[in-house]
Amino acid sequence: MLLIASAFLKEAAPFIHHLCLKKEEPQSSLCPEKPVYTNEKITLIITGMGKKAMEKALISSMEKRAFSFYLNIGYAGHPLHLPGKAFFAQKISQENASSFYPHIFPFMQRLSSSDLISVDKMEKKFSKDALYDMEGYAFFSTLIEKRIPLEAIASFKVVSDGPNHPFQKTSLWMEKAASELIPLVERLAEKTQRIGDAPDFLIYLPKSLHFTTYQKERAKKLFHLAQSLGEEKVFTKVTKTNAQAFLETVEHMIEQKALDYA
Amino acid sequence: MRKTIYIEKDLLDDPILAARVDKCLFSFRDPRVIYCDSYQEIFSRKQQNFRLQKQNPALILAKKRKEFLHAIPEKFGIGSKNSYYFSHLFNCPFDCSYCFLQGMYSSAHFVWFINYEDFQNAIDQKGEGHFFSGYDGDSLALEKTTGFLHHFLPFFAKRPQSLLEVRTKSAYIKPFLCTDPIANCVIAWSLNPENIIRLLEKKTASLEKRLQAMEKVAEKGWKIGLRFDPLMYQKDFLPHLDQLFQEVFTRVQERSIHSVTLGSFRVPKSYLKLLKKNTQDPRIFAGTHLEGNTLKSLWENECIKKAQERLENYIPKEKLFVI
Repeated sequence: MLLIASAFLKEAAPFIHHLCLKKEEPQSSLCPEKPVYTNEKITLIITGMGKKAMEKALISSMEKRAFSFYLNIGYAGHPLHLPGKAFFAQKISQENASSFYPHIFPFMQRLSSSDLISVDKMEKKFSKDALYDMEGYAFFSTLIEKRIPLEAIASFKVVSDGPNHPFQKTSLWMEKAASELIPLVERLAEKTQRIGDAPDFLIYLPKSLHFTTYQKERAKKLFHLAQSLGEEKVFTKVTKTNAQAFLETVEHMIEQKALDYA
Repeated sequence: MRKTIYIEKDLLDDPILAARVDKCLFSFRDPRVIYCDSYQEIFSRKQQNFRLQKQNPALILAKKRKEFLHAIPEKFGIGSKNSYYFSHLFNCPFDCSYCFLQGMYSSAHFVWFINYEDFQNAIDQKGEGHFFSGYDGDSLALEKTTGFLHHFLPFFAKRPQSLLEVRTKSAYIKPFLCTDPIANCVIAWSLNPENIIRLLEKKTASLEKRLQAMEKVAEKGWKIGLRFDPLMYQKDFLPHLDQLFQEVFTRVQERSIHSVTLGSFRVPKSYLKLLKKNTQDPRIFAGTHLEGNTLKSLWENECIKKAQERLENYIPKEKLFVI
């Protein structure tokens, strides 16, 4: 399941519409205090503006549901680019804090990329050639603190303002970028959709034998090795009266197969 | 696909290094450039997905600031009491299933330390010795980008009392064919039977390509090192070994061989957890066991003994070093 976090509804509106996301009822919602929209592959939460709001909404969401990828979509200011231009964040920074460098997936390469600097107040100076927002750093730092791998986190930003374009809460710029971003979001949702569970190695162990926890761990490792060789059936060919003898025989048979680099 | 290149900001403060950065950027088509304070921000981060990064590794340009040389115990060398390895490059474009780099590094990105002059100063401070390149990555695989030999062959040419070993699984030998050989440089190829190379040494040059490369550089007058290390144990180990030795020693004349080393598969215990997670082929762990702090092949002694007996039919004992 893909989680999208956006600060306010106008940013998220094109995605809610194009991806056919339905609003969850508060009583059964992921996050009763915030609007949440879902389909079978995507959950989108409107977090509210600012880092504290982002942090709180993320933590609350993660306590209730497991996600395989986290995407922040929102507006950002830029000193040079016009409103409506879409980017993915290649480096996320905040003053007096270490930066994040997200993984760059091949399919994201169609988008331009830019550094993203998160600030506490709406940026006026735009001193660097970078995107400026208020939630991006908190998005990454909250997830990293929860031990989410950096490879499962990304941020797409659309320019909404700059030195010559004051900020407006409108869907216009996001709509403009939607044709670029929607396909990428759909692609991410496909890639991160939960695949059926891998075959459980336990079904290959004889039910008549008792395996300790340690022996089950050993069996699991052997099973993975056997799977890599396409030799899972080894488990069904061995008949022993105790778990230890069973595992030793299976291990020997797998090793013989493993050493055959034919 | 656009190459992502991370650059330590400080490199741009040094005109020589800045020029090297520019040259590197020009060699890629429209690279994505991201500046960082230190390569460690990207490379040393925990919880990275090595396999995901391996699909399209980024390049990180950095400056090495300390520990330019690492001493090698004499038993792992090729006849010198003063042996060191140095790494201008972390990681490798090849993907050998047994490679310890998958266990040592959490990232598959390449780190290229471009301050060659500092490595050279460190080598000069040591005086005489054997200096090995190719420990933390293949010496030649990224030569077109790094120009490592362009800087180090002339350096060692002026220091005949020291030896440079360049270890590789590549067949890229153009720099050696375009320059006169120097007596104190050994081009060393890691070798295994052809089926092992095909199955476990993904993206490397085939045995045939390596042999062709050896023949060409030997003809030019360069010294060859043969590194049967790690020799991977397999079913029908001896017939495969006999075939390998016969092929190699038919194609490479003994007079061109500087040294031969022989070793079996071994991994420090501290690298095992990550290696098991990252390897593409868990078969490499078949027939291994932990001996103290090292994972070794159960057949290590037998393999080494049999290989050594056979090698002594091809080369004088003084050229053979058993690891």
